[in-house]
Amino acid sequence: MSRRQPSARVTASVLAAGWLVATGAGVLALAGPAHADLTTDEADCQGAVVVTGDDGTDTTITQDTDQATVDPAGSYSGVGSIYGGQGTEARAYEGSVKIDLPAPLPDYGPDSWTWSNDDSTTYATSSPKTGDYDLPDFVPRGFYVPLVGTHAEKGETVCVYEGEIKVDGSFTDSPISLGAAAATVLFGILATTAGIARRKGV
Amino acid sequence: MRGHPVLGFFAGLLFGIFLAITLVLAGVLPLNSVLVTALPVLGIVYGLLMAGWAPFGRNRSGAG
Repeated sequence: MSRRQPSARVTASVLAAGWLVATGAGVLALAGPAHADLTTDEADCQGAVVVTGDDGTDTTITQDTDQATVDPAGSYSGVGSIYGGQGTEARAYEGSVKIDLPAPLPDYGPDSWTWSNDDSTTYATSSPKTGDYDLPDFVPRGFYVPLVGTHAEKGETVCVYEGEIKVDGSFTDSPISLGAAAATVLFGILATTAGIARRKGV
Repeated sequence: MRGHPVLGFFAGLLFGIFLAITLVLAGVLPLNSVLVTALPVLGIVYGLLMAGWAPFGRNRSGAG
């Protein structure tokens, strides 16, 4: 006389335990995003970029901006200076801006978002750096991701900006988001099936 | 273990990684949250716990 397993109750318990991870993560993650702006400033770093989205919205990001929202595509115009624009000594500089995405997603920062000069005598942008942008699909929509800008003088980093940027849209606008959600469900089911007992006496 | 520990380990790891990515992309989890690092580990723990517990199909004896 065999005792029947309360399979329905066990299954419900197992699934509840499994997805407790997800629920716990969501509850514990209610803390807001980190405050951020100019984290390194050894040269009186100043910068401002006006981003004009295809939807007509203007967003200005400066060295003091913590968070900004931009359209997925549009144009930009940026200026910057160090030491208040004062100085005459020739020097080399380089810098870049990138969207710092969580691994395994690649960071996004095209060549047009970089600047450099091997022999400059100006300490402020003489004419705004302009261009168009069209953020790829893998840049997630609808939530803040880190935006990092750096500037180096003679090979030494003197300015680091760390803010957050949100691309207009929702979770479902990015195939990366949908793919990650699908993979979560798939591997969640697979991890649960690890609990299928192996046959005895085979 | 009565279940499948190898499957539990790898599936749990990937479950945790993709869960962390999904929660980050959904804006639920901040990028700098310790849970982004902890979830893959919790996923492994979950997979191994399932393999050890093996609550499914216990009444199969292989007799059939």
